[in-house]
Amino acid sequence: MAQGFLYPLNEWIGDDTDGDGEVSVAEAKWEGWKDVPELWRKVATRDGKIYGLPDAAQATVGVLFRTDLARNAGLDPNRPPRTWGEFYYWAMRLSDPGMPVPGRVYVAGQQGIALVPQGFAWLPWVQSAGGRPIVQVRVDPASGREYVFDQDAVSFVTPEGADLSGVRPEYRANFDSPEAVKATAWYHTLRWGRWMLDVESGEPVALDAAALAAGRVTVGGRPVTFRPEEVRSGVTRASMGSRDTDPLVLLGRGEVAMLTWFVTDLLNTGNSSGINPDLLAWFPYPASEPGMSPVVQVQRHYAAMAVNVADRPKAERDKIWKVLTGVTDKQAGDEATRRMVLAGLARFVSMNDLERLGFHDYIHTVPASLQETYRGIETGAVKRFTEPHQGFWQTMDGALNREVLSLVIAQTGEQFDYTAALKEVTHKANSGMMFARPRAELDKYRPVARIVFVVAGVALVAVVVMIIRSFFKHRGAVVSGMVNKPVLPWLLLLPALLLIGVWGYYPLVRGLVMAFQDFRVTGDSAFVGLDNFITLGLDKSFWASMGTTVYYVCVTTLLSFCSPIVLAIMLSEVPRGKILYRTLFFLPQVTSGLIIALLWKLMYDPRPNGVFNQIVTILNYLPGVEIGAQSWLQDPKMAMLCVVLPAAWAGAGIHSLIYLAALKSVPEDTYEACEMDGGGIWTKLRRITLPVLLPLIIINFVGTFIATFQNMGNIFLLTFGGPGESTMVAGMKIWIEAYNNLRFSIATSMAWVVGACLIGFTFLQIQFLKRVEFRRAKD
Amino acid sequence: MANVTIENLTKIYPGEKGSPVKVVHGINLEIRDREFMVLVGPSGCGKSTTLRMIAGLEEISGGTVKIGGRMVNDVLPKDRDIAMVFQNYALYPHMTVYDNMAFGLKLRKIPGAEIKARVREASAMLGLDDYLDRKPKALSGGQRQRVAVGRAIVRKPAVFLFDEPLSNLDAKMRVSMRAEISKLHARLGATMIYVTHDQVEAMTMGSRICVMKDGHIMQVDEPLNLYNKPANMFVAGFIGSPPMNFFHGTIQESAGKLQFVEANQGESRISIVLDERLGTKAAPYLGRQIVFGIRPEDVRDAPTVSPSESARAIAVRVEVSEPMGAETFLYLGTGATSFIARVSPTTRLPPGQQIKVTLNLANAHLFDPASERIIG
Repeated sequence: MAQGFLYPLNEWIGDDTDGDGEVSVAEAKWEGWKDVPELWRKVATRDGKIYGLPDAAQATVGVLFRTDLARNAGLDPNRPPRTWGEFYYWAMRLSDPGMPVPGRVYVAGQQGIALVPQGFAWLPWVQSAGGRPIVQVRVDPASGREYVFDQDAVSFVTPEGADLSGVRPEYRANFDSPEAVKATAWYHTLRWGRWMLDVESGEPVALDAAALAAGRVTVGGRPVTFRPEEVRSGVTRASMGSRDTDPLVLLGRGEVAMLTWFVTDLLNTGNSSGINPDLLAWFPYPASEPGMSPVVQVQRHYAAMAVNVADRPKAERDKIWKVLTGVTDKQAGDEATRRMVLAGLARFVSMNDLERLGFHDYIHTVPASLQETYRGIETGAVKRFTEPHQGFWQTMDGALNREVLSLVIAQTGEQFDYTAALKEVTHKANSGMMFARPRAELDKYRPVARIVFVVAGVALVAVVVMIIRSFFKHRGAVVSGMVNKPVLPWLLLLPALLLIGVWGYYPLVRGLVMAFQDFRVTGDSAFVGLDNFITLGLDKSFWASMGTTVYYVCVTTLLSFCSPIVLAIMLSEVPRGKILYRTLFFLPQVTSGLIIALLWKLMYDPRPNGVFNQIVTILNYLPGVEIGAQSWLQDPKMAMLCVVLPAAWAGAGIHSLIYLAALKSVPEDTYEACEMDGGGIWTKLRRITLPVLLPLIIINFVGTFIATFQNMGNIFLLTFGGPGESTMVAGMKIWIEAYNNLRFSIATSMAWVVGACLIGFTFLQIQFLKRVEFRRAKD
Repeated sequence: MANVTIENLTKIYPGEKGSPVKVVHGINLEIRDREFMVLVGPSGCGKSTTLRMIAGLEEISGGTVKIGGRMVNDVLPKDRDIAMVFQNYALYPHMTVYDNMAFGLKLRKIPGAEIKARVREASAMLGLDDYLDRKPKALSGGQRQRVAVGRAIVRKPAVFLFDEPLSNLDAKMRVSMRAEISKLHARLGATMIYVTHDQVEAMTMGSRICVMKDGHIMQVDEPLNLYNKPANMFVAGFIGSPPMNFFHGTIQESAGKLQFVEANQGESRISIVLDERLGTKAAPYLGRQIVFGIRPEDVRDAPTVSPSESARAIAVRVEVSEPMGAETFLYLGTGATSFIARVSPTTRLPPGQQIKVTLNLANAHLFDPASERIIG
């Protein structure tokens, strides 16, 4: 909607005649409008324009589980857990690291739950703790007071009786509320909580810090002592999206017993995970405490019309409208339900649908626990929340995943400070990532921004002018002789000028224009002045990414810039097999960078049977070495190094050959002379080799620096900026802003800020280079 | 200052296919203190290898090198109290002339003032005062070599080693540098070991010359002794330009006198009646193979032939005449053999002209063809 991709459907539904920003049932000329629930009508509408029709069917997110595994563990599948406490008990009962699971890939036995780091699956936990992750704030125009409403609210009457439904709301994310912290702590408990099995009663016992320290715990008034090796950690398999952690596959194989996922259609779920759907059941997210409500999340998809489709003649547009109403029509869904019932699959159909469609006789086939859930949803005992439908939730979902939940679940997650991370991510959400920064805040910074911008702009132009002038200094001598025929040189230059102009500078200028616009891919883009730059300036994560970029450049320089020099010097000293080594070093160069990155990604497999982890295992045989399996790319501390290594490895060969060529240009007797003069190997290196290589080193350094500053290919392939933001370099951030978040204006402003920094730096380097060349000329 | 003693010095390289290659065959050489010793020989004779073993740049495969009485086989080059001048100058390209010369001293932690004084002294000696701030690239070949020499001088080593230092210079520069190095030797009074393949350099510069061939020492002696009393055919042929003329033949007796008769058959073969000195030497070789050697300057053309000698004159044909200015070389042929005569510059003979020449037997030599050693 924001990008103007969609065509308003008011043509068929009817117009907002009273100007309250919504098309009421009374205003609508289309019959179907009244069948769309009010919330969904509101979601589809913006400023009186309707952009989509919701599917009649809705997706529900709850806790999926295996009834057979529950039974095996002595649990009653018809009486699923209703509170977090009960849930934890279930999870412990369902966890047995020693249990043999046929078809497993990695020996972890059976675990209680597959934890998925996706934001949408985490929200219901927050809500079941009583939290409201997204709220809307409406200001009463009369009193000027702010009122907070639920995101799903459809009635906006204040306690004072004012109706604020006509007021444009401002949405706010609450991902760092105490309830959200509690829900994240809950993730942490599921992943890292210590527990043990009491041998006498056969019951699992959760262990707190005190019990762990004492090695003793009280079970049913009876003291039980335990040894450290009896303590189990977590009830979770982490589903991080790497190989063999697909949650449905894990559930299907029985490696996990529960999973928070889409639960509506158990038949489909069963089919896709390869298990008998009769062995599957689900229950709502349990309440955090007794007395609170369990929660389900509902999602609805919309059908919409793209603007370019709507460019066609009216008759064709009408046909498309027909299709839209057809696919979203309740009748279509109902027909499918009927067919399921007639096929004898009524037990997989929602009880509500059975009742509505008159299949009362079949209701008893629906498992009792499900009946209870459906009834609860109907009565409100189970709370329903929609997946956030405002702002850039998709981005936020990813951010919560990358920057918080993944890091709790990861191998290294036990010590992770999720409270701070939640705070950070919430700040981002409310300052541009999910919801636009409030206008008032932008206004506040505008004067400062103007000054900063003018200063920066003048500096940039000055630098560019200085660079250009430094190239034209000796023009007089060059032009002579050609003065009479000024056309030919220009003609010869033309192809290059055109190519560079069209492919280099035109996009650059367009980008500059975009940076001052609120750019929309289709439709008109409004000029917004410096707003984008203010947003950037206030965006801590952008500056953090600049810092990360500098770090990235440093690591890359250290590895891919210095190692070839060392390699070349070693290569020039190797007594035999030089050609063999040279060939070996050069080989990676002929391999595609993509393949190299993906190969390394495979080798960085965080499981113990990953290539590098196997090497680590071998290293452990050495005396005095004790290293556990590493999680490589998923470890925030190690990720940057891991990302840089493949490129450094692949590039070292070719670069070392270049240095080798330079080294060969130093005659052997120069070293001998140095030896006679009293120099050892270190002196030879420092006083002869390095000075000879210096011009090459500097040129390479400039190249590496600039390329690295912009480069993000390997990061894109290996970590996508994660884990957390540990490899979020500016280039990656720009890409995400542009192509994930579709915020092209912000992306281009970022690119310009990065570019400006680079131009400044390049200027310094050129000055430096010129001095070097000057020195060479005098040689 | 020091003497250098080489005993049974051997160098063996690992060969291409595993078979070791011996390039220096256990040579013995005593280089006296303050001596200018020239190692000369054709390329591949082992002279450079020998020098580099003295310098410590090559590992010694066998034997010993002593500098100033101290065995230095296992001493690092920098600790041997030597300095070396390389054929390609081996200057540090990124350093100025001053720094090039000062570098070794800096590495040896010599005080700054002393370095300055020594470099100034050397640069004055070598005429480099105006170039101290330049980089080697901005210097001519001769200047560069002077810097290389300067770098050696400032170190004040006991022994100077020169490895074909002049071979990269043009002919003129070579002649003047030759003289300069000689002067330097006189001035510094240091022991110098100088490797060259150029016998002129060897003759003009060396106090003594060591002629080498295939890893063996052929002869060690003062230049004129080498010239006048070559120990073998190799030295005789190598020292002197144009080289000594050799005639292969036999000793025969005719009319009570021994005479050398050239090996080739035919009318034009040379036969030389030997004088008393040569006769005694040749006596044991009667009827046997022998080599007769005579330097070009001892071949006299007709105008200088005295009437008494005319009986022994040899009829030859002038093939080429090379006027050198101070002298003229005549390439002469008998039809079967060719040889060279060094004659007066006033001699003008067109090619093809038949003349008669005589040989100054007082300076002629006889060699054993099998051992190539001189007879007598």
